Amino acid sequence: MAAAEAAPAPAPEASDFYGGGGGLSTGRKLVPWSSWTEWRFVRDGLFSPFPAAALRRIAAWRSRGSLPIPVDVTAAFVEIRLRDPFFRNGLAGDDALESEEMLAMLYSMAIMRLVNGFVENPYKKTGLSISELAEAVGIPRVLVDIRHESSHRSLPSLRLLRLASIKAFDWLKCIYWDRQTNSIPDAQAELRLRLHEIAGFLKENNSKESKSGSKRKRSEKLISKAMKYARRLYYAYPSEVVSVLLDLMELDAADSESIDMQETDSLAVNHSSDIKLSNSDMKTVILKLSEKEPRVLLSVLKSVIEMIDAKEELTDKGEYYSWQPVGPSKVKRLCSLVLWLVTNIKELKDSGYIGLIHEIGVLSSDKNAIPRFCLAKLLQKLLNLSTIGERCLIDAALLLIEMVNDNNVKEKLRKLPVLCLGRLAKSSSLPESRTICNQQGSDENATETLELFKVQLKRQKNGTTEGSSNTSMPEKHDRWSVAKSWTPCSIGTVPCSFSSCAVLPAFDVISHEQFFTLEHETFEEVNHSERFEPQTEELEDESILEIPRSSPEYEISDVTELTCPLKGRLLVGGVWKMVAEEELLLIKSKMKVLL
Amino acid sequence: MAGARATPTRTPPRSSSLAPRTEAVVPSDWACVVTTVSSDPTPPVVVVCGPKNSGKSTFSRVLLNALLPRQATSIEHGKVGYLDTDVGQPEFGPPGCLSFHVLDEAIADFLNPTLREAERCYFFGDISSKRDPETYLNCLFHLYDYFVGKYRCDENEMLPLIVNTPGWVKGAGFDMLVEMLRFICPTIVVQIRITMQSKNLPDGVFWLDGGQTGPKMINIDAAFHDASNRSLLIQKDSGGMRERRLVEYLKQCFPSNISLSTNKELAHALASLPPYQVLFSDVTVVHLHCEVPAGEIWRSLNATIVGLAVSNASEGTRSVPYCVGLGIVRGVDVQKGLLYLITPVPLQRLQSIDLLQQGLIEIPTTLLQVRGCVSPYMSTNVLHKISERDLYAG
Repeated sequence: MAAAEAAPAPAPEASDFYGGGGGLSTGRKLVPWSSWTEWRFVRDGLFSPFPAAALRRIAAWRSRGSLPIPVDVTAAFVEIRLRDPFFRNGLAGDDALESEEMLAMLYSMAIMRLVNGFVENPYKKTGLSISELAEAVGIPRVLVDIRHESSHRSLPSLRLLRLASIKAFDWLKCIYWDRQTNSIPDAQAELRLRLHEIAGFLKENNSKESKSGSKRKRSEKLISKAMKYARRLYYAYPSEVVSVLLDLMELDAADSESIDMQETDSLAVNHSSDIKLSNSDMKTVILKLSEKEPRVLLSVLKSVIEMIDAKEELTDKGEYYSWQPVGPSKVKRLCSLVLWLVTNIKELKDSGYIGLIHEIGVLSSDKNAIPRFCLAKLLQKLLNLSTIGERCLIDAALLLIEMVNDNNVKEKLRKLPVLCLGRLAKSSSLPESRTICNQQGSDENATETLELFKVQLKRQKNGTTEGSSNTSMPEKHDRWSVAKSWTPCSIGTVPCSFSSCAVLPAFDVISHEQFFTLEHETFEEVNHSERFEPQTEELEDESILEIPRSSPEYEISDVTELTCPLKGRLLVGGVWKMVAEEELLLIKSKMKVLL
Repeated sequence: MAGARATPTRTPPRSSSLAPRTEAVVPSDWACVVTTVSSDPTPPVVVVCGPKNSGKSTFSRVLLNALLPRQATSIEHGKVGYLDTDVGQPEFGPPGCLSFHVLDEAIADFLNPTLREAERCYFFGDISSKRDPETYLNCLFHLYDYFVGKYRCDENEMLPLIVNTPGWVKGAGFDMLVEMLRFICPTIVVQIRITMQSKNLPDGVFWLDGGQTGPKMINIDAAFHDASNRSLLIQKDSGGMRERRLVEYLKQCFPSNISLSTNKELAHALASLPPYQVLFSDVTVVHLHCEVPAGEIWRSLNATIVGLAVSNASEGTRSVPYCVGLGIVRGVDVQKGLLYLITPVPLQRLQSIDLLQQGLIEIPTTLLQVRGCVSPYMSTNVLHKISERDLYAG
C-alpha cells in the first residue's frame, strides 16, 4: 500500500488525485464512458497507428456531453494528423488535406482550444494572465505563443505548428492520459489487499480465542473498517469485486475435495509471503459483506451459475475429454457453492435482511427487497443447467422453490424424475416405479397435459417476455410496452436475465447474434422460461435418456440400460406413458404451434 | 428553492403567503402596462423582450394572470395562448423545448410555476438557440403557424397570445429576435429595459425598416432596483434551475400520492420503476446536434435524455417532428434489440412515438448517484482538469 501511494509522488501533479495512490475516491463525476475499460480502449486507440475506432467512440462520447477537454483536444490532434500528409509519411489519401493554409488553421484552432480549455476558467477566477496560468499548469510555452499569434497576429507557419502539435500531443499524454491511467483504481488489487488484511485479523482473532480484551476489539474494529472499504469497492465495481471473491475461493484447485476443510495454515506454509485466504475465510467475508449488502450473495450466485454454464458450453462443444479431468471437481465445487449461497440467501430472508415481495414498489427505499419473480427466474436458470443432476443443485433448487413458495411448481418438479434421480444418485438406481408405464393412461390425457403446459407457457411468456408480444401479434402492433419483471438497477444498466443484479449492457454484439435474437426471439424465450421444454424437445428425437446430460454421477452402463424402457414413452403427470409415433407427431406439431 | 429566483413581483391576491424576499411590489408602471395590455379590445399578441434576467418571465406571468379573468368573463374561452421560446429556461416545460401552451388557469406560485403540458412542442435539444439558429427559428415559426391556424382564424374566438423570448439580445441573438418579431407581427411589444443602456435592446421598433407601421411599443423598467433606484439584473443559477425543472418533470412519472421530496428518493424511484420498452427497429434515433457513427448509437444513447417525437411524415417533408415529451434512456439490451425508457408520457401516447431525438440536455447527476444504485457513468477517480493547488504550487 505504501509503495502504491508513493508511486505518483512527483508534485504538483499528485494533488490532482482524489484518493491518492489508486485508492477509491469519494467524489464522483459524470463521464461519457461506461467503464474504465472503455476509456482504456480509447486511449490505446488514440496512441496507436489505427485510431479510427477510438475516434468513432469519442464521437459517441461527444454526443453524451461531459466530454473532458483533454480527450476532446487529443482527438482533434489525432484527426488533423490523419489529414496531414506530413504525418501520413507522404501518403496522399483521399481525405488528406493538401492546403497548407487549411492545415495551419486546423492546428492553430486545436492549440487555441487546448490552451483556453485548460486556463480559461481559472483565468476568470484568479485574474492571472494566460501565460502565468499556463506556466503554472505546465503548458509548453510555444503553445501559449501560438494561441496568441494565431488569434491576434498572422497565422503561424505550418512547420512550427506541426512541431507544436507534437509537443501538445505529448503534453496531453503526460498531463492527462498517463496521469489518469495511474489514478484509475485497481479495484481487484485493492480488494485483494483488504481481504488479506481481513484474513490476517481473522487469524489473529482465532489464535487469541482464549484471550479477550482490547487487542481483540482492536482487530475487530480493523476488520469492520476493511469490510467497509470492501463494501465501497463493491458499490463502485460490483463485477470486479465478485470476480476477485470467486477467484480467491480457489475453485480451480484440483486436489482437495472437501473445500470447506481447507485451513489457512496449511496453505500459508506454501506461500509464506502473503496470507492465503481459506475458503471458510472467504465465506466469512462474503457473509459479512452480505450483512449490509445482501445483494452481494445474488451477484456471486449469478457469477457462479454463469461459470457452470460456461463449463457446460465447453462440454457441449465437444471439448468433453479435455474438460473431463479437471471439470467434475470444479463443477462440483461450484455446485456446492451454489447450495451454500442459496442457503444463506434463505437465511437472510428468514432473518428479515432480504424481503421477498411480489412486485417491486416504485418507492422501494428498501433496496434489499427482492421480487419473487427474481427467485423464480433464478430457479429456471438453475433447472436449465444440465448439471442439474448434482445433488447440491437440486437441494439449492428445492430451497429456492421453498422461498418462492409456489406449490404448483413444487408439485410438478417433484414429479420430474430428474430431481429424483439426483436424490437417489448415490444409490445409482432409478426409481423403477416411476418409469413403470401406466398403459391405461389414455393419450387424451397426454394431450390434455400438453394443453396445460401450453397455458402455462403462455402465462409464463406474458410474465417474462421482453418484447415478444410484438412478434406474436403482428396485426395489433404496439411499439411500446411496459417492461415485465423489472428489477431495480441504476440508470445505464439493465437487470441480468436470471439474477436480479444490474449489469452493464454489452454494446458490441456480433451481428449474426443480433439477427438470431430478432428472428427467433419467441423461441429463445420459451427455452429460457420453461423447464419442461427440453423434455419435449428431447422427446422429438426420442432421446429421453439424455435428460441428466452431463451429470457425472452416472455410469454409462446405467444409461444404456435405461434406453429401452423409456423409448416411445412420454412423461405425463410424473408417469411415463406409452405413446404411439403418430401421437408423438401430433404433440410435436402442437408444440410447434406453441412456439 | 423559493429563494432561487428572487424575482420581485406584486403579490397577487391569491398567493399572499409568498416568502419575504419576494415581497417587493411590482412597480406601478408594470401594473399600468398590464392593465393597458389586458384592456385591449381585440385579444392581443404580446411579445415580451429584454436582456436576460430583467424579469421577462415574471412580467409574462403577471400579464397571463391579468388576461385570464378578462377572457373568463367574456363569451370567449377563458384561455390564453403562451408561446415559450426560451429553451434554456422554459416556463412550463422541461429545458430544451420550444412549446405552445393554452392556459386556462392562473399562475399561483410566481416563483416556481408548475409544469403544464404543452399543446404543441418541439425538442430543440440544447439550452441555447445558438447551436442551430435556423432550426430554432424553424421550430418557432411552426409553433406560431400552429397557433394562428387553430386560434386566430375565427374572428369571434381569437385567443390572446403571450410570447416570452430568450434574453439573448446581442449579436446572433439579436438577429434571431428580429426575425422572430418580423414573422410574428405582434400587436404589442413590451420591452423591459435596465439602467445600463448598453445591455438593452435598441429603442423603438428596432426590427422594422423605416416607413413601416409597427405595433404598439411599450417600454418598462426592470422590476429590481438597487439603493440608488437603478434597474438591475437578478442573478440566477440557471444550471440549477434547469436541473430542478427536469427533476420536477421526471417526478411526473409517479403518481402524485407518492412522496418524492428529495432527489435521493426520486433517484431510487427512477431506478426501480419498470421502464417502457421498445424494439430498436421500431424507432429511429436522431442526433440533433452532432454526428454519431452507426455502430455507436446505443453507447451514445444509454443513460441520456432524449426527446420523444412523432415523425408525422404525412404532413409533408418540410414539417418538423413534434415532441410529445422527454425521457431517459435508462438502459439498452443490444442482444434483444430492446431499449428501455423512463418517461412521464403515458403508454397510450407513447405508441405514436417513432423518433428518439438526442440533444445535449444533460441528465441531472443527482439522479444517477444514490447509494447502492450508482450509474456506471458516475465515475470515481476522474482527473480534474486543473486544481487550485496546481495553480499556486508553481
